Formats: sequence, C-alpha cells, structure tokens
Amino acid sequence: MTNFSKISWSAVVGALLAITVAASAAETPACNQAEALIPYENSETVVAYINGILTNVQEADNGTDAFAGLLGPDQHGKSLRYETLYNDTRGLLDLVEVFDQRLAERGQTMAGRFELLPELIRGGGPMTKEIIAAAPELESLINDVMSDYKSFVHGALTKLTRELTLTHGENPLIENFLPLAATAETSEVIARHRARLDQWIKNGHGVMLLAYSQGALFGNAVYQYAKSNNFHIPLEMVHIAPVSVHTLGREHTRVDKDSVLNLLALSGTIPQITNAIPYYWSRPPGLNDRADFLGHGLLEIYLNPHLVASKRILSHIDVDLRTMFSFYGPALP
Amino acid sequence: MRPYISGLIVAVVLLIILLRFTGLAKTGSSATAPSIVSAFNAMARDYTPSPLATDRFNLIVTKLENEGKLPKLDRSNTVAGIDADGNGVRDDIDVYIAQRFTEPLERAAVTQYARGYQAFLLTDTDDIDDVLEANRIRRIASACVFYRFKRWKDTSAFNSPFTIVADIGALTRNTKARLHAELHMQQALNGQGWTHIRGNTCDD
Repeated sequence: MTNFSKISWSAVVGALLAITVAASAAETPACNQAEALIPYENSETVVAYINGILTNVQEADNGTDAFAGLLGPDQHGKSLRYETLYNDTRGLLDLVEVFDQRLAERGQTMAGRFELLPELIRGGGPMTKEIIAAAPELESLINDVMSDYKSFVHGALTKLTRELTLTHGENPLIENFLPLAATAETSEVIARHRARLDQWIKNGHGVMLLAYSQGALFGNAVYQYAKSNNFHIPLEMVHIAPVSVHTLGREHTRVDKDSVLNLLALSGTIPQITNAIPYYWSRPPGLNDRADFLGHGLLEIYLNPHLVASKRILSHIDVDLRTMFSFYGPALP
Repeated sequence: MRPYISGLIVAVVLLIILLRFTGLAKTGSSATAPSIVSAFNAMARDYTPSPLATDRFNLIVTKLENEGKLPKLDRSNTVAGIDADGNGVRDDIDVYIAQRFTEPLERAAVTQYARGYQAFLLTDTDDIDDVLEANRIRRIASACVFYRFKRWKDTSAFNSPFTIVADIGALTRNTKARLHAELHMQQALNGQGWTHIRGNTCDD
C-alpha cells in the first residue's frame, strides 16, 4: 500500500485512455462519421450498462434489467434498447480459494456450502437470517467472512490499478502503454466494447453509457474513443460509484458509506461524495430485497428507490437522454 | 461469544475439580488463589475458538436443513449433479422450486431459468459460440422470470425476479466445482456485449 499510495489514480484512467487513443490512432475506425449511417432519428437509442467489480453475468444482467425496469421501453417518445457490456474481474478464482480456506478453518461442512457465499459476503439474505435466528452467536463468525470479502475487494481493485500503473511509473508516457496494450486482458475487453460501439454507430444508434464502479474505467475508454474519432452521434455517459479519478466531465453519484470507494479514496483521488445514506443496520432493502454490507451494490444502494441517490442517477440519465434526443432537432421541453 | 465463555467456564470448573483431587488447591486457602487465577488466565490466552464455532455452525446448519428451513442440496463431485428425471434441472433444485413456487406458470418460469442456468454451467468454455449460445438461452430464461414476475414492484420483494434468479444461481453453484464452472464462463464472456431480452420468452 505504501508504494501504491504514491501512484496517482489519474495514471489508471490515463492508462486506459492512452491505450484507446494509441490503438485507435493506429487503426482505421470501423465506421466513419459520414459513411452509410442509418439516420439516428429513426433508430433506437442504446442504453448500455457496464458492470462493476466482482460481478457475474446474471448480476450484470440484473443491472441492465433494473435500468430497463426503471426507465421503461421508451423515454420522451423515443425507443430504448438496453445492452450489457460485460467485464469480468480477474481474481475471482482467488476469492473462491480464500473463502474455502477461511471456511475450512471453521469446519468442512460449512466449507462445502458455497450457496451461502453470496449472502455471506454481501450481508443479509434469507439463509443467513435463518442461521442467525437459530444461533445469534454465529453472527460474529459471519461478520468475519464479510470482512474478509471487504479486504478482498480492496485487494482486487488495488491489484488492477497496480497492474495498470506500476509498469509505467508516476509520469506515464503514451509509448509506455503500448506493451500493456499488447498483453493485458484489459485491452482486449476495451477492444470488444469498442467494436460493439462501432456497430451501434454504424446502425445509427445514439448511445447512453451507464458506467458502474469498475465499469467507469471501461466506460471512459469507450467514450474517449468515440470522442477522439469525432463520431457524429449522440453519445452520453453517466457514472455511478466510479472507481476512476476522472469522469470526463460526466455526472456521477457516490454515496458516503460506500466502503469500497472510501477505501480507494485513502490511496488516491476519486470523485467526491454526492449523497448520504443510512448505516448498514438501518438501510431499507434495495430492489433485490437485500442489503449490502459494503454500501456499494447497484441494486441494494445506488438504484434503491428508497435512497435519494437513485433519484439523482435517474435525473442524470433523463437530462442526458433529452440532450441526445435533441441532437438532430429542437430541444425537448 | 457465548459458546466460548461457556466452554471456558466448563474448563475452569474441571480444572478446579482436578486441582482439588490432586491436592494442589485447598478450599479457603488464600495462598492457592493466585495459581488458579493464573491457570485461568493462561487457559484464556491459549484458548482457540475455532473448533467450538465450527461444531456449532455445522450443527445449526444441518439442523435447519433437516427442518426444511434451509434447502438440502446435492453436493456430489460433478458439476452436473443428479438429474434423474432428465428435465435439465438438478433434482434437488426441482424440489426447492416446487416448495417455493406453487403457482404453475411461475413455477414453470423458474424451472426454465434453472434449466438454462444448469446448461450454462455445463458449457464447454473452449468454444466461444457455445458460450454465447448458452448465455443467450440463460438470458431468454431470465427474461421469462422477469415477465412472469413483472408485478414484483407491487407485491412483496420475496417475488422480486432479481432475488429469484440470484437464488437459483446461488443454489445451483453450491459446490466449489460448480462455482469454478461459473467463473470459467465469466472469463469466457469477458468483454462481450449482448442485447437485453424482454417480453414473454417462456417455454410454457
């Protein structure tokens, strides 16, 4: 942490942006702004959700489903098409090992019960409630597991940022990023997202990026790619709990008791807190009827209809959609 | 903490009895009191709570499983587990769904998701086309759950489709091998994008 704390968070985003800029400069864009575009006004607007850290595919889809449910099939008379841009978090296999070891210290029967993992690491849930109701003294053991997970999340994010920065020192230059671009799995993820964006642009879609948590790193890269190529399309982005230092001038939301972001804030600069939420034990359940021990969950915290943060996010989306829909015509009232 | 304290009290009582029988402690003797306190402190220092906590947790979870308050799941070595009726869903997951969902159309939707998710876990990750197809089938099944439980906002969160698909997923990947299978699928899908599916996509 000592060395890491010296590294600017701006280098993390810089790394991703530089990869994008350098790579895009070397290639011909898959589509150019002037060629064979389907008129945007006749096309759907793509609302693309980019998931956060330690998220499985169903959880990523749940994020997309949540936005689809909250925003609906159309806004201001324009049709919306929802997409998921998935990024996996490396190190999940490590998490399984840590979990297994921790639980093995406490007994093989529990170690075999991996169905308890999601509830144990997030806090709450019907199975843990049953266990604690039957044996309240076990709550401290469950809290230990949640703390292990919190440490793991911090470690995973630290590892990601370190990987993106250590090679390049504190004053990174674009050429230093090229070896990373050639080898890192991250660059492949960005390239795939970029290809998806190219396809949407080619088909005349406007694009709204909803970048959550770790998704901010990928969202920024895709957004910057489009902007740097002067694609003449309506393109907006909203940040939710961003782990990046930069939001590229886009709106963001961060709650005060998001312990993932608060831990990151200790070792670098991230966007400021915008909303307060209650403490864990007094938080209303989120869209999935679950609480999140870490205060970082999309469904539990940021899209929780009982918390004001969700209203802020939906407001940002609405403003951006209005801007997009006015792209080729008069401003919406 | 209560089991630890109870354990310590039992241990101290046993120690006192032992000391009395061996003549090392005499009731009412002020001279021997410090040695007992020291022994107690030493025991407290050396006490490791893990075995007690382990036994307690296993006992409670097993008890709750036997009472039907927690699902009793197949923990065989294979990712596939046991599907005796060949409906594409593990038999223990079938039992869970039958107990939790009584309305036929809702039960059919959840069963479709369980089938889609089971197939997802069993996919060969070396073939990206198979991976994408398995993910598509899983998403179709997920859309069916969201369609059949679309009134979730107006009813109890128990029927939230977010919770239903999350629970089926968690119960299906209930062993290390099954969790690993999912993680390999996640890695295979890293960077991919897909269109959200909605509407009535139900088989039944």
